[in-house]
Amino acid sequence: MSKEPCLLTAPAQLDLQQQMLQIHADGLSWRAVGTQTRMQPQTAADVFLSAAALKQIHWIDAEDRTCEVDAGLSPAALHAGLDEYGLMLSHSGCSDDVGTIGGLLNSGTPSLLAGSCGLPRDQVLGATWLLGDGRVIRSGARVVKSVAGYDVSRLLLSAQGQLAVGLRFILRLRPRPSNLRWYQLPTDLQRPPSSWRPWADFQQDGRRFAAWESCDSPLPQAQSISSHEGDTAWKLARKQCQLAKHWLATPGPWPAEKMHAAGLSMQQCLILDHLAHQSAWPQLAEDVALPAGSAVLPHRQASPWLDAMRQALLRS
Amino acid sequence: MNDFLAQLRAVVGARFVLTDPASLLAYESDALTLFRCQPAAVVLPENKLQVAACVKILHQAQIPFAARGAGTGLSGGALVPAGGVILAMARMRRILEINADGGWAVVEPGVVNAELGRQVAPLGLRYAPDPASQTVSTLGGNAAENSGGPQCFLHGTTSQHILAAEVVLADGRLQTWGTPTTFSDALDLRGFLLGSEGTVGVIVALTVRLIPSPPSIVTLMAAFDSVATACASVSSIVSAGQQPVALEVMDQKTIHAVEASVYRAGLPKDAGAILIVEVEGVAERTHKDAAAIEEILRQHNPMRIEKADTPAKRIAVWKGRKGAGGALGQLGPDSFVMDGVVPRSKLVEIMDFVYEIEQSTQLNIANLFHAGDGNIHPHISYDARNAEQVEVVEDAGTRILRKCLELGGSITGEHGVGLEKQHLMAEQFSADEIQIMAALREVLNPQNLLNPGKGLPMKRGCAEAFHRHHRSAT
Repeated sequence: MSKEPCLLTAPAQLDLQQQMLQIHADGLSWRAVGTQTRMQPQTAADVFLSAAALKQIHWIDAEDRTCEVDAGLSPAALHAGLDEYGLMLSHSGCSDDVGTIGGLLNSGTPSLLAGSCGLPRDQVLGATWLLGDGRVIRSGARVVKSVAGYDVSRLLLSAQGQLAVGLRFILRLRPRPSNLRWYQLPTDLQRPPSSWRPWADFQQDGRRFAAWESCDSPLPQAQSISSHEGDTAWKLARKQCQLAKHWLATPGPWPAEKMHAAGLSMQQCLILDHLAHQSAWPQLAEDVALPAGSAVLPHRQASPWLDAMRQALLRS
Repeated sequence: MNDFLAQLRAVVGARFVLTDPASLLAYESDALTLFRCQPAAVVLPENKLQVAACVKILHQAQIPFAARGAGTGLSGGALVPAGGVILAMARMRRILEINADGGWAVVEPGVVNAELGRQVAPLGLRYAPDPASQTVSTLGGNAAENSGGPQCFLHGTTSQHILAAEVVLADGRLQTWGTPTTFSDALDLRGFLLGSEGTVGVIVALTVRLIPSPPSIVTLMAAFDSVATACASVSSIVSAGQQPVALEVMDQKTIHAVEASVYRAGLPKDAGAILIVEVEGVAERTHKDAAAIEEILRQHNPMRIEKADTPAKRIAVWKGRKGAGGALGQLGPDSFVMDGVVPRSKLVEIMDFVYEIEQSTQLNIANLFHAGDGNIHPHISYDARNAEQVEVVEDAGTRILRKCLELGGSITGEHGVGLEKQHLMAEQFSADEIQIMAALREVLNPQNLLNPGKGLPMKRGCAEAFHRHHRSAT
C-alpha cells in the first residue's frame, strides 16, 4: 500500500473492513472522512478512509420514530425517505444535498434545529463502527432510551473520525411540524453577548424556537424582515440551507469564526409548531438577537485523552 | 488502614469520617437491597478541593472508593467492596451559580433534583429531568446514572441536560469536561461520563441546562379496562405525530396501592390501567393538542377521561404517579424495581410477558412505566427472608430482561447496570464490545479503584466481593 496520502472508499462494509485490516497490517495512520464537505481533515494521516459509498436506509420504524441508515447516505436522501412517514431527523442543516450523515454526525455541525433539539449527534441511539484493527462493533441500542454500558457513540463521534469509522447509525426521529413559520431578520450581531437577552424573553413568552440560525451568506432577503408559513417555510428553510452550503463547504476556519470575522448581517429564525397571531411577530422579531452561546462553536480543542483512547481501542 | 483514615480525617475533619458500624449500616446498600456490602469508612467532603485531596489519599493507598448521592439508586451502583470507602456528597449541596440569561446553572453534586427546580422556578425556569425520586435523589447521582423520568419522552434524559461536568479523576486531578454553550467541538468526555455509574470520575460540579417553564400545562388521565388498551392508545397518540411531554401508564395493582397510601390521588380503582398524558406550551397550543389527544383516547373506548387543568389537580395526579414506588412498598417487606426497555411498538407484547411471568411464578408484580419511551418498571414485592422466593424473583427479573432483548430492547433505560444486571451485559453486547468499553474506561480509571465492579461484567472471582443479602428468618 502506498505511503502517499490517499482516500480509500468501498461500496460494502466488508471491503472497508479489508482495507482497514491492510492499513493496520501496514502500520499506516488513518482518519475517517465522509465527502469532506463539512470539515477539513485537521490531522495528517497516511490514509483517509471513507464510508461515503454506503448509502442504504436499512429500516424506518414510523411507530417508534427510529431508523437505521448507512453513514454514506446524504441528509437529503434521508429527508426524502422520511417524508412519506411525516418524520424528520432533528436536523435541517446546510448542504443537505451533499455530504453524508456520517460526516454530519461526526462534524458536530449545528443545524437549524439545534437550539431546540440539540446537535444531530444527540439524535444517535446506536451505531456500528469499524475500529482501527478491522473489528466491527456496535454501540447503543435501537430503543429511544438505554443506559446499558458506556455511551461509546458520543465519544467516538466527537473524535471526528480519529478513533473509528462510523458505518451505520440508528437515529431518533421526530414528527414533521404541522405548523411552522420562517423568519429572516436583519440584525447587528456585533452587539455584546450581554445584550442577547431577547431570546429568553421570547421563550418565557411561551414560544419555542425550533431553530435559530445565523448566516453571513448573501441571501436575497437579508435587508428586511420576512416571514413564511407552513410548507413554504419548510421549503425555504431547506433552500436557504442549500444556498449556504458553499459558505460551509469552503475550506477554512469553523463557521462561528467565519461569522464573527465577516460581521454578520442577518439571522434566520425557523419557528415550528406555533399558533401565535401573525401580527405579534414582527414587533418581537425586531428585538431579537442571538441567544447566548447557541451558535458559537468554540475553537477546536486538542484532547490529551485522544491518543490514550486510540491506543486502548487497539490494545483491547 | 489507620494511616489513610488519619489522612482523610485531616482533610475533612474527624467528625466527617464515619467508621462506627451503626453509621456504616446506612451505606451498606442503595435502594436495591439485594446487594449489601459495608464500607470500611464513609467520608463526607465539603467541597471539590477536599474531594480531590481525599481521592489522592485513596489512590496512594490503593483503596477502592465510590461516590454516593442520596443512595436512591436501584441497581446496586453505589457500593464498594469490603475495605473500600464511600465518598458521600451530602454536604456538597450548594447551587453555585444561576445564569438565567444563558439558561444554565452550576450546582454541586449533592443538590437534590427538586430543590434546583424550586430555586429556579421564580425565574421562570426549570430543570427538565424528573426521576420519580426527584424529591430525594441528587443531581450528581442522576448524572452518574443518566436518569430519566416521565418528562424524558419530550425533553430527553439527563445527558441532554448536562452541559459540563467538573470531575476529580481516579488519581485526584481535577478536570472540566464540556462548556455551558450548546455546541462543543471537543472530545466528548462529558458524554462518556454521564451514565458511567461513577466509574470514570467523581463529579464535583455540574453545569445544567435550564429551560423556560411552560406557560400552560394540561394533564389528561384516561382510565382503561386493561394495560393492553392503554398501551394501544399510546401507540395511536405517537403515530398521530403528537408530542406530549409524558405518557405514563399505571396498572390496577399500582392504582390500588397508591389509593391505599398517603399518595392517594383519587385514581379510579375500577380501572385496569390508567394513562397519564401531559402536554405543555402556549395555552392555545396545549388546549388544541389536549383536545386532539382526547379524541384519540376516545377511539380506544376509555372508561373515563379526566382533565387536570388546574395546578392543584395536576399536582394530585403526579403525586399519585411519583409516589407509586413508595406506595408499592406496602405490598411486601422487600421490593425489586426492575427497569427494561423495548421499542415502543412492542409494549403490549412485553407487558403480556410480564403478566405471564406473574401468573407462572405467583409473584406479586405491579406495573408502572414510561410508556412513551417503552421503558417498563415491573415492581416485584417479595420477602427476602425466603431464600427460595429470592431466587424466583431474580430468575423472573432475568427472564423479563431477556425478553426485552429478544424484542430489540435494552436491559436498562435509566437505573443503570450496577451490580444487578452485569450477567446480562454479555447478552446485549458482544465480547468485543464489552472489551472496548472496558478499555475506554481503563484510560480514565486505570487501576479500577473508582467504583470497581460496576456497569460491566466483573472478572471471575470478583463478584463475591458484593454479596446478595438474604435476611435471617429469625
